[in-house]
Amino acid sequence: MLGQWGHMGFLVVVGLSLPAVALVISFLLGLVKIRPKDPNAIKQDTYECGIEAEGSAWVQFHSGYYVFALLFVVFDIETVFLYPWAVALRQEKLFAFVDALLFIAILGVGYVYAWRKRAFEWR
Amino acid sequence: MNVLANWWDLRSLANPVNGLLGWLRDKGWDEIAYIVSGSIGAAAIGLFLGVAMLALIWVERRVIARIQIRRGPNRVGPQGLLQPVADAIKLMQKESLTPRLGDKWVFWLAPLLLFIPTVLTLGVVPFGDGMTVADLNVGVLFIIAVGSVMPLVVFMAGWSSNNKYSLLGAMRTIAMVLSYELPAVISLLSVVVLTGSMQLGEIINFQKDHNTWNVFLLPLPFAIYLIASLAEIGRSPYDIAEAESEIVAGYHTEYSGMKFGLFYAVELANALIIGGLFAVFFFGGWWTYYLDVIIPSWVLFFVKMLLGYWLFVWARGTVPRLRIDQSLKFSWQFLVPMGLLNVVLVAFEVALWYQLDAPGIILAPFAVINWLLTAGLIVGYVRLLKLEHTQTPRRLTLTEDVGIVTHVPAPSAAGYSAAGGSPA
Amino acid sequence: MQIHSTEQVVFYLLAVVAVAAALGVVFAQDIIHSALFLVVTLILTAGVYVLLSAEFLSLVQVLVYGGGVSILVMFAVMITRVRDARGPLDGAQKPIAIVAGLAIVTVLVLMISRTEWQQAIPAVNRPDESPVRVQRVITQTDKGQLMSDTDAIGHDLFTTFAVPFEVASLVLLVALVGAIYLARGEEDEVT
Repeated sequence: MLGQWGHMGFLVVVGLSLPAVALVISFLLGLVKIRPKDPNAIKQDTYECGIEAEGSAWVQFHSGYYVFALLFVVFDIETVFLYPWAVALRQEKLFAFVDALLFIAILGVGYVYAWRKRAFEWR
Repeated sequence: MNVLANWWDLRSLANPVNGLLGWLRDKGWDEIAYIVSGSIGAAAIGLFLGVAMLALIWVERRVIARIQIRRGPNRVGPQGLLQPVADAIKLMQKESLTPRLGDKWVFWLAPLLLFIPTVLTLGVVPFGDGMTVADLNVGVLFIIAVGSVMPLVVFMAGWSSNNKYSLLGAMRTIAMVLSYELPAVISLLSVVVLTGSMQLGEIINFQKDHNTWNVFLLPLPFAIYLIASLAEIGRSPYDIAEAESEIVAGYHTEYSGMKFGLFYAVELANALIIGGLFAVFFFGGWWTYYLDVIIPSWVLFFVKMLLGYWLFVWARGTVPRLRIDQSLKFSWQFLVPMGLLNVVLVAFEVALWYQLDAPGIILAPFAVINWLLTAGLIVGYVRLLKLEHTQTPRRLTLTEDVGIVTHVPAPSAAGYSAAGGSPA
Repeated sequence: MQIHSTEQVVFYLLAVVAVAAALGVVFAQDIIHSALFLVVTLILTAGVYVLLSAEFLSLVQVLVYGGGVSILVMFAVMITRVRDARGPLDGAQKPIAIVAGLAIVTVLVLMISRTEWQQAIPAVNRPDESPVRVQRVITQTDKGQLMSDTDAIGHDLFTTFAVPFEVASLVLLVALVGAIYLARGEEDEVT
């Protein structure tokens, strides 16, 4: 079993080397002057439709982003809990089903609360 | 995997590899066999990705052109087949700029890490009978977990650019990817409940043993997974990251040259992989109702993979982009509850099946029930939410044809002054 | 330090990088860099879980911490105005922070020193004697294969831990309601 995970290690190397090779080729082309490398202040400036960039990019983001991330984490954990249940369902049969039904129902209360509080709406 | 298969039986490319590995093990070189098997798998996936990305650029551009009634690239090479190569060369020649105010380290790191989730996902995909690099017994969860790291890379790219469009694009993309990851996870949960395993090989075996494709039993998870995966890989109609009219190119606005090319390539590769996952989860993977006896299993899998990819290109060519508030609401208020209801339904069926110790043929009535309930559920839920259904016109209607739009006179300067002069 | 197996080499590699990244969290000047280092530590911890044959746990670690909590941290940073504050932010809380930190260190050191570590270090070579406890509950499926930790967890959830399973659901519910209340407050409701 660990051998399989070892193969995943090989794949991490592939995943790193694919973009690395592309970037190295690009870099080498720069060395032989096929690829231009002539940076100047205007080119390296932040793009903002041609006008000068004003202030930092770190503008005030509204809290909606945070709420969605929170909702995601809570429901994600719930679903992850259900994965071992899904695998064990065949041994435990109807008891497991009722158990999980209760689990989902309790979170359903939270879902309805979130809905009523308009947490799912982007404002 | 058939261990007794001859090494020259190319219906599964695993056979020659196993032949080689068996020979190495006979010699007592277990370590060498392990390294060789890992290297072959890794090299195969690297090669596959490289070739696939070049091919997909061509497919994508030609198909989109067809949909938009254009010809598409057809000059470079026969039928424009060499166009992707030309594209790659062009990208490599381009100057690569780094924004002065950005964070240089993170800016470079993001495109480097970009491919790891993609490649790792391919590691658990069975490309054919026995052709899996590592058939983990937590395969489904592995795909989800590895895919969930993608938003981080997006955030790194967007934040390090120090560009308002980039950061805003990254934040929006992440909010949407998170919201659609949940329906995807829930719909795959249905698949796991039905097949009783998270191992991708076992999921295919289940479909093979019961002579069915999962899509017959799980129509709703299929639809949810289709929509959710479209959003997760950020393709239109969910390409708000690249909403050119609003936020330029989203989180990769500041990337140029080869680094931009990498962002472009990984999107195509992800779309292809999702096509492959469709095949595994819902269309039997390499198994195709006895066709796999004649045709090599990996050919069948590639065909299914490409059909899935083609579906994505089709969606991109025809469906208009959704606004972010619409797409988020749709995910949370429609896909998530529907997916959970379906999990409960399938779990009940499976529990009943095993409680009664019924034969596998019980799946047939389940399929009928599931299709009917799916249709009923969607209709009922839409009624419940009182969603408005607007009929889109079958053909373009000119205002003269409509006949009810009367001429609205433009407000004249006199009208303004009159309004200004006499406040109501 | 004796090297018994490849797994051990991998473990030390993971551990060294994870600890280095953890130091990076503390010493990085930029708060986003800190957060990114934190993600590295969390994901490498998942790698250690894999070495312990706890596959399910490791993937949950990646999914929840690598994909969920880390994004939560990033978003929390983005919606605050930390960038305007130059220099350290600890201020008046410094003594409390030191006390809390020392308390955690004490608990961890006590826990590590009091645990009876098994002597079977290359347990990975003998997967049937994995140090993970749950795996020894049942090790055989009906097909006669070795049971994975997912099956074991699934089985335990409905036998020994059926009630805690439901309690976990309640905890999640409380977290959900609390989060929405904090973020939305007493705003308008759908009627």
